[in-house]
Amino acid sequence: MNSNVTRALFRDAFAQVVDNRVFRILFVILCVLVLPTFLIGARPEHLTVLFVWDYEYDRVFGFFGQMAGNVEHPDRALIQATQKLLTDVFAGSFGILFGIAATAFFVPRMLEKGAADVVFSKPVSRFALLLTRYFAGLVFAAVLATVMIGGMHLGFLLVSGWSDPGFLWSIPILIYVFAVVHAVSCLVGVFTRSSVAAMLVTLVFYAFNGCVQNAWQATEATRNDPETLAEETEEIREEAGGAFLETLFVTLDVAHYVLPKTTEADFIARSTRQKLERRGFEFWDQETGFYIAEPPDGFVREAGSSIEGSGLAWSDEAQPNAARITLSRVLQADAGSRLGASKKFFEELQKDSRVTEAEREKDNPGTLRSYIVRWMRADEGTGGRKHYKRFFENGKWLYTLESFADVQWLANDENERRMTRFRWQLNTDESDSGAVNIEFGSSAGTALGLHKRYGWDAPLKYNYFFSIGSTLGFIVVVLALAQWKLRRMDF
Amino acid sequence: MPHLPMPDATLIEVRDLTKTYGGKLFKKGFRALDGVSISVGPGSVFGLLGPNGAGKTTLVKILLGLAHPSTGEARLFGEPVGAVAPRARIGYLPEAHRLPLYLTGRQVLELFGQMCGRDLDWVKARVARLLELVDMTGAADRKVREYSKGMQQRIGLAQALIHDPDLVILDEPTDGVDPVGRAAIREVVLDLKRAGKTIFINSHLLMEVELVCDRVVIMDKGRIVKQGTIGELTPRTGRVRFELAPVPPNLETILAGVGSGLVLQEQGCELHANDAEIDVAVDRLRAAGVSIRGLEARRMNLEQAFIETVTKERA
Repeated sequence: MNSNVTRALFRDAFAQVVDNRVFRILFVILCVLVLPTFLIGARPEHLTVLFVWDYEYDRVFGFFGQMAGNVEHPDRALIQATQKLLTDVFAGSFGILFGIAATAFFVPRMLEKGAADVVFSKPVSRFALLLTRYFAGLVFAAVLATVMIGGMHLGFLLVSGWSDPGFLWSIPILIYVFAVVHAVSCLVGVFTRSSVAAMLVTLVFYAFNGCVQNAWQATEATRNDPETLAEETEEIREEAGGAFLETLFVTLDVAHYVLPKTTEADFIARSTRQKLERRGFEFWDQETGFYIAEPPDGFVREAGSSIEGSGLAWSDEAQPNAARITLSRVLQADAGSRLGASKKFFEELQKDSRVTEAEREKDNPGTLRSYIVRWMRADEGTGGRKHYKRFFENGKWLYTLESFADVQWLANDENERRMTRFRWQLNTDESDSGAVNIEFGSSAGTALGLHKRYGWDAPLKYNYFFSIGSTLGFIVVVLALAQWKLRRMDF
Repeated sequence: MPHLPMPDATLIEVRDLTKTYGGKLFKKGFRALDGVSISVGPGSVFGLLGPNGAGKTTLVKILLGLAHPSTGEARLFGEPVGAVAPRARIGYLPEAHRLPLYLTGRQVLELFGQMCGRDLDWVKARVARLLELVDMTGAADRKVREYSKGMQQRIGLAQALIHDPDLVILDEPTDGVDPVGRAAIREVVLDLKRAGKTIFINSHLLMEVELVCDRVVIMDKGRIVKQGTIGELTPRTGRVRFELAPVPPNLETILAGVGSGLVLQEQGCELHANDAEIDVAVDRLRAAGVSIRGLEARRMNLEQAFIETVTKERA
C-alpha cells in the first residue's frame, strides 16, 4: 500500500467521523462543558466570572456549610472535582457508551451491498480497509477526548492559572479503553453486518467485561492479602463449599487473563499522573504512597533536612524560632508500632518535671490512624511552648510528625489554624471507597487497597506492562478474527 | 502506481469456473456459475447478457475478487483473481452501487483515484475532466446523499474511470439514467473503445449492448449458452425488403414464383428469398421498369436472438 492510498484512507476515515451526527452533537456538548473553564476562573481567593466579577468562595458555596471554610485551597478543590467529574463520570462512562453507539455502523455500512462492491474492488487489501474503519473509531474517540481534556486543561491554565500536565494523561487512557470496545464492535460488525447487533453486543461486552474485572479485583483483594481477609476468605470457603468457590475463582482468573483489562486503565492513569505530579511534592514515599503535597502554610523547609536523616523540618517563615514542624520515620521493626512507641514516649515524657499538661490520645484524621501526644513546656519559647507529636504507620515505617509552637505565636488565630490544617494534609494514599474523593494538594487521587499492588515492576498479574500487553493482544486477536472472516466473505 | 504496458495476451481468462452459494454439509447449495469459460482480449467491448439469476454479476464479482470461485480458474492480466495488484488497472461500476454518502462527488473521485495508487495532483487534474464528461461539474461539491439516482450513477461511472484503467467493467451502467444521460454514457463507452480500452458490459438493455459491443456472451442458469460477435448472434432471417419507386400495381404478378411469403408495403414489399431468388427478383423488377431504391436483407435483432436462445435453452 503506497503513501497515496494510506493518505486517502486516513482522510476518508476522518471525513466519515466529522460527518457523523452523534460526533457533532457530542462535540458541541463537550464544548459547552469545557466553555465554563474559560469563562470562570478559580483563583486562590475568589471565583472570577468573565474576568470581571469576583465572588468569594464562602458566598458561592455557603450552602455546603463549613466545607468551603475548611478547605485550604478551594480553587484547587473545585478544579479537581470538575476534572474528576468530567473524566471519570462523563468521559469514562457516558462517553464510552455514546462512542460505541456512534461508531457501531462504521464496519457494517462498509459491508453493505453496493458499498462493499465499490470499496473492495479497489486495489486495497480487505484488512487495510477494516483497519481504516477501526482507525476511524479511534479518531472519533481521540478528537472528543482531546477537546474535553485538552480544552479543560487549557481553560484552567489560562483563566485559573492551574497547570496539571498529568491530567492530559487521561486522553490516551480514554483512547486505550475505546480501542478495546471498538475492536469488539468491528468484529461483531464483520460477523453480523448489522449496526444494531454490533452496538448491542459491544455494550453487553463492555458491561460484562467491567463486571468480570471488578469481580476479579474484589476477590483478588481478599484472596491474596495475607494481612487482612485471608482468614475470612478461608472461613467463607469452608462454609460455602470449597469446590464451588475454587471453580468460581478459577473461572474469574481465566476470564481476567483472557479479557482486556479495561478497569486497570484507571490504575495506570492514576499511577502515571501520580508519578508526574508527586515528583514535585514536598514528600512522597513511592513504596507506600504516603505523601505531603506542600509544606505547611507559611512554613519553609529547613535547608539540608531529609527524611532519611533526622527528618524533614519546616519552620515558620516569619518567626523561625517560634514554630517548627518535623517529619521523621524509623522502621517499625526497630521502634515498634504507633501504639507501643507512643506509649513508651508518653511514659518517658511524664518523668520529666519540666513537662506539664501531658496527654496521649488516639486521633484519626481522615483515613490516617494515629496516636498523638501533647505536652507543654513553660520554660521554653515566649510565654511557654506547646508540643505535639503524632505517631502513625505507613508500610514498614513508623512515622512521627512533631511540632512545637510558642504560646504567644499560637495566640494569633491564623497561626493556630495553619498548624491545625497541616495535619489534614497527611495523605496515606488510601481510600475506603471508590467515590469521588478530593485529595488536598493532589489531583491524581487516592487508591483502593489493590491499586497499591500494581506497578511497572510488580509481579505479572499486577504488572502494568502485562496489563497493557495482554489488552493490546486481545485487540490484535479480535481484529485478526475479523480479518479471518472478512477474507472469506463473498459480496 | 506505475501502470504496466498492457500485455498482448488476453486480459480476462476464465476456465471452467463454478460458484456455489450456501452449500453446507447436508444442504445442497445454489450453483450460480457452472463451468463458465470465457476469454477477453485487449481493446474490445465485451457484452454479458442473461436473464436475472443467470450468474452474470457473480462472474463479474469473481473477476474483481469480491467473491471466491468454488472451482475452476480465473485470471486477470495474467494474475489469479483475488490478487490486489491487477485491480489497479480495472475500473468497476457495480450495479446498485452505494458511494460514501458523507463525501461530495469530487471527494469520492479523489478518494477512489488515490485508492488506486494515483497521486492527488494527478487525480485532481483528471477529476475536472471526468466531471465534465459525465456532466456533473455543477453538482461536484454537493454531498452524495443529496444526489438523485441518475447523478449517483454518473459519479459512479466517473469513479470507475478516475484512475485511467485499462479494463472497465460496467454492471448495468445506464440503470436509473434518463434517455439523454443514457446516450451520453453510450458515447463515453464508445470514446473508451476508440481510446483502445477494454470494456466489459453487463446490461439488460440489449439495444445498448448491440450498439457498442464487439462480442457478446449469453448466459443462463450459470452456463454460457451462446457467444460470438453481434453479427454471429443476429443471423439473417431470410426475408428481404425492397424499397421501390414507384410501387407498381401488378407487383404480385411481377414477382410471382420468386421466393415466398410476399407482403406488400406502402413503399415496396418484403419476401422470403435466398440469394439466387433475390437476383431473379431484381431482374424482374428492373425489366418491369421499376426503380429499386433500397434492398435490405432482414436480420434478427439482439433481443430476438437473446429471447430465442434462452427460450430454446430452457425448453
